[in-house]
Amino acid sequence: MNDSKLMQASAATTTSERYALVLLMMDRGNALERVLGTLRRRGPTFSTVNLVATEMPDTARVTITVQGTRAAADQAVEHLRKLVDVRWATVIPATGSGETMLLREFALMRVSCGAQHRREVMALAERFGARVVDIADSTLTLEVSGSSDTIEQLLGLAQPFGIRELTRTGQVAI
Amino acid sequence: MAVSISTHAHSSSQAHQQLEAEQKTGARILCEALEQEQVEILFGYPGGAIMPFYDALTSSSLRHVLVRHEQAAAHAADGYARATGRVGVCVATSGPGATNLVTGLATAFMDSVPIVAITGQVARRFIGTDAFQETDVIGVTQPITKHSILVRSVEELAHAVHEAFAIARSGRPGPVLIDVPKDVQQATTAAPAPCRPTAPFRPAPTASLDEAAARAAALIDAAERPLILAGHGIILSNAYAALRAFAEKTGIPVITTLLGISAFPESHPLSLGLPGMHGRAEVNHAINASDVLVAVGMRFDDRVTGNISQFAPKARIIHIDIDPSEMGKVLTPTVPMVADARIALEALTTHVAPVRHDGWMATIQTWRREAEQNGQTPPAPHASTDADACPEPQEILAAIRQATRGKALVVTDVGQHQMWAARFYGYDQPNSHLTSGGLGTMGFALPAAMGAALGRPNEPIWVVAGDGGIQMNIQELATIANLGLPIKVAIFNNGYLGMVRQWQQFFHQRNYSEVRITGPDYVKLADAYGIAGFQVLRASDVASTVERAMSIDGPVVIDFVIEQEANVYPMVAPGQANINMIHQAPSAGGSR
Repeated sequence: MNDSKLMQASAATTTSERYALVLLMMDRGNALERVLGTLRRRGPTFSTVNLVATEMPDTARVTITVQGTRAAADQAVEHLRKLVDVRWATVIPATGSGETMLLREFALMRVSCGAQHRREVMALAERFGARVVDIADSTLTLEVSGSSDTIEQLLGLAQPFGIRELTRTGQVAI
Repeated sequence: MAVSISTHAHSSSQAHQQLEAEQKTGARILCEALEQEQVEILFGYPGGAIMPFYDALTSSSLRHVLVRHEQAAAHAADGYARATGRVGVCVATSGPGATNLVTGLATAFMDSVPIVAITGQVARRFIGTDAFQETDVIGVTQPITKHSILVRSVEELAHAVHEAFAIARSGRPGPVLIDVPKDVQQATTAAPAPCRPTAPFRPAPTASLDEAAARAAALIDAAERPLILAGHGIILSNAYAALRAFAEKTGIPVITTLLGISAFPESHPLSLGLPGMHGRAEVNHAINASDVLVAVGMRFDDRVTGNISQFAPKARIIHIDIDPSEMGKVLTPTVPMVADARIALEALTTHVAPVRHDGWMATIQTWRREAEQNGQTPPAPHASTDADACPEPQEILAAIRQATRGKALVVTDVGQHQMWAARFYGYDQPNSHLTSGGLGTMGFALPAAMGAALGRPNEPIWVVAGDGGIQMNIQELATIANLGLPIKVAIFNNGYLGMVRQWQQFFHQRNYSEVRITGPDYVKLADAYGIAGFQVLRASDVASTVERAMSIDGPVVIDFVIEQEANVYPMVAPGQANINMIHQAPSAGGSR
């Protein structure tokens, strides 16, 4: 077997990782449907999708988090680049490490918290730069933004108190 | 029926009349935009939501062909585009008209054929209300079009048309759909949005082409058993001369994929023919032994490669394609070259050293002789010893070649006859073979031939179809008769869905499930349409009937009643390596 030829040639093409696909897309018609339809058929499975406004009118930035091999992510980007409304596309590791592009996400979490634990949870929030946006009898609602790792860590530490509800946007890139 | 009323008000004031004189309806703008794109012919079928366009059509220079089913409009536009290299255009109304285009769009998408489909849509205020004949055709066709545009205002209409044509023909060609609400066709404007010249969406990375060509040339110069795999990209980029110059300078034999047939003359000493599932035995052996494959304008379809892990196991691959997403999709090439086939081949030709590969060609010829001697490759057409025997497929194809002096444009359907036609006609003329390769659409041939006949009116056009596929769009005999198109239809009639039957024979122990198929009396049917019809039962009548068909100016239908259980050989079972070819039917057993 010619080692340079087949897809399963190297570890980079077989290890499943999380990647962020970042696009600049003309925000018109069914552009997002086409992007997602292309990924549904050809791409690795995606977990989060964010379409946001940019400094350019009619142009949206789309950040899609996918799980798969690097080869599959690269192939998906090539297919996305063929779409007429996609003006630019790239793929970066979802950790964002070593990239010039920044990846951040935003989360709201409602933590179970009676009066006796309030101080503790608020201290935790402060450590992560999270804001307390609502205080109720039995819950505190925190708002946090940062890298996915940061949000994971905060969630891990808040877990023992009990997480009643969680809203995570998924990653957005700049 | 949702009838929308133009909101355009008439005025008696003179100034207003003058203004009105400059106003154009969307329908008029649509016609003019098509004229500006130098469209000569449309294939379509009117209906409620597209009526304003049909109203404007009569005062345009556009020629319209009324098909008998919208699927045929899409295939005819496809056949026209394949035959001429121009963009084919089809038109349908909303709802069922639009959904009937779907198979034709998918066929064109799979085979990279540039067509523009124009569909009527219900008026804007009815969209999303489940109005009469409303379908979300943009949504339905999204995965099978290169792009689609819902035109939201009359001002955008002209630009949408020009954008659609630019997208359809640029880069890797493909179908584009424009959905035009009825009230947009009726609305008027004096100020259409300016037609911005559409920039190339993905400029080819020409800067690195030279460097890639140099790397590829180094591989080619060192190769001992090189092969060229030529696909549809050669035909799409008009790269016949470039391919020939490259092959002749390097002495590399040329394999042509199903859609690459007629990209390289089969009578050329370097021509090897068809690879893959029903390819020639020696071609599959050659790929198996090859050390360098130059794949041009092809995409390593599974029917070409067989089991991918055992395809060309010793070869380094130079992959030339205009579509970057083809690089590494199936196989990761040693040298990827993202470029137009002609430009890449010309670049390669300047870099390679002139060589001959006589030893390698001799080896392949030895495999060819062995295959023929062992009965593994059916012999070249020969006169049947038994005059009363059934017509043999290769005899029919040889007779067509003889009667047309090899100048026919052969349009095939999908199935056994498609493989016979791919193998036994002998294509020497550029772009003389049209078929639905990627999607494998039965019912393609007859309507596609209409488009081809109108695009290339001075050439003999032969449809080669089975008795299954011909019945899938047989209504188009009415269109063909109506226009007097000189299409000769050869039906390879075995009373079976032959390819499925062959699979059932080989892989399902002859459990023939729903493959026996009846049809009409084709001679009477042709007569009913006002077309000359013949039936050929004996091998001895093949040549004379084909000659007779050629002597008739208009369309002709010939029902060739062939052996019921004729098989296509060799055959590679699905999932198998291409060198594991089947050359004979399994011994009889099991029940029918």
